[in-house]
Amino acid sequence: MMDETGRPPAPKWAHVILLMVLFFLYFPLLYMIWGAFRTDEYWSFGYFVRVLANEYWMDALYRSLSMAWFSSVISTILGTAAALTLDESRTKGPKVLPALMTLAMVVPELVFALILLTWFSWLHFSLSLLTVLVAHVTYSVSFTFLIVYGRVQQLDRNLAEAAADLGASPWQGLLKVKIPLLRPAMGAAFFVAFLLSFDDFLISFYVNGVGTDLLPIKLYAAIKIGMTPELNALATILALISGTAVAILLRSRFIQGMISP
Amino acid sequence: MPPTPRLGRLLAAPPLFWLWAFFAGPLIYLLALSFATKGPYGEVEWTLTIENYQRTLEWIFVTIFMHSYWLALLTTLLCLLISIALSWSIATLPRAYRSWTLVVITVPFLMNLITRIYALKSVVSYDGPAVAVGRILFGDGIDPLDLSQNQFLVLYGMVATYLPFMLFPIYVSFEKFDFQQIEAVYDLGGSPRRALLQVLLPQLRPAIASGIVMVFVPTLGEYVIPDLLGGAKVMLSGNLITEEFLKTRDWPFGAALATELIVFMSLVTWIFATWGARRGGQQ
Repeated sequence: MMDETGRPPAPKWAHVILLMVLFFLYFPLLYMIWGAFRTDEYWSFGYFVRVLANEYWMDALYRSLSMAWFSSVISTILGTAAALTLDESRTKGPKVLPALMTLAMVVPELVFALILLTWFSWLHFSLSLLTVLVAHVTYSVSFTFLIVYGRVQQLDRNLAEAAADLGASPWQGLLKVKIPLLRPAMGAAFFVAFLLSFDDFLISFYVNGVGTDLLPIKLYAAIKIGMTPELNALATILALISGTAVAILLRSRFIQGMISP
Repeated sequence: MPPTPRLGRLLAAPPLFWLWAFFAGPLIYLLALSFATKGPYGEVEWTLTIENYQRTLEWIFVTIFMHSYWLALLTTLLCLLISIALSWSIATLPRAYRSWTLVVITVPFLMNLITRIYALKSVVSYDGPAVAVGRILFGDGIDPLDLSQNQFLVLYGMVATYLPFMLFPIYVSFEKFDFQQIEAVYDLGGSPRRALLQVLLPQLRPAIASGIVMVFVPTLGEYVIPDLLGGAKVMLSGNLITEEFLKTRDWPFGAALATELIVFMSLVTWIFATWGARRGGQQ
């Protein structure tokens, strides 16, 4: 427990700024949601019904959700493997891997987008959902690595030793002792990767193929043309999906342990 | 457990392969590409040249880059000031409210960027509340188009996207800060100014440094926010590079611009990482 005596109350203006930030963050979202329900004389779910019945949007939504699902599964596996590597060979471990992960962590989205576009073109990979998948995994893997590695460092090394003393092979020690202990962190990593993929626009914009647009790209194109109540409904649905993923993430044991130690 | 090199190598292989094949390899290829030439049909010709780099020094491109740096600087500064105020405010709330306030602030940031931009655009659209308020305040002299696409909105969008990267590190070290040190400064006759500059800020420095990197670097490469909120009026480095890659299809030139941007970003990261790691003035 922290000693909090002598912590001076914050000045009024600091609280005012907090309220202003909350207002500026939430007002546009609430206004958008309100616009999705508002018709000329009454409130209705009409726009939602229309969006949900529209194949143009639903195909893209389905693609976006599957993309987020598959890319975060692969990213979590790769990130976990990388985190475990550093644990298995702590003394003389490969320095390349953490260096590349750190670099991938600070490089912004735009750079991932353009290096992969030129790279795929050089290798004559035609752009498709597969190239988007590869790009999303590459973008999110440093995040999954960092989350799982944070937990790996806290693992009690005696547990692995005890397992080895009791005759467990390194493989058994990994699968039966470490992986179960890492599961909460892997869960958190999965949802972070899911959000990164589902929310991504720029990378998909660069490396997607023809006719397989993900939802954010279609929404972007639609915004350029004009704004309609139907788009409000669609954006509300998107916000709802991200919000659900965030809620699951925040309720996870891993994050709970972080925000209320 | 004794080190098990075989298992370690086996585990290292897939992530290492992935990062070389789809990250380090492509980065090196981009560097090579920046020295190539664009063919007549937009294809890449391997006649090596430094012309691409010379072209990036043309005034029009320099101004775009300067403008981007300026906006990134402004965003970072604004995020820093807001984060310090928010951290102070949250850290002195009753304990039970703190994590909830943090969660409430974080949720919108984790939502789809396009969704949030759409929400913002709906507020400033011609029949939205921003125009209505503007009409009340300034009468009919207000042009809805100016209101829906401008520099201020771009700045708002940037801050509303990158604030948490600054807020979290600063809040965490604020929460750890022992405020009795401030009292000690007062007891010893120090001024509030001195308490701030010589006690509080030096201890927040590592957090501020990482916050600066995490906000400044991605803002430089932003494409969607200036594109949708700034209209045709604002061209930033991210938009310029995207134009070169996706529209003009002058990849070698785009690669040169991107390489310069990456070098600049690495420089900023390195400078602030060093600055943040330097020992503060405490003790």
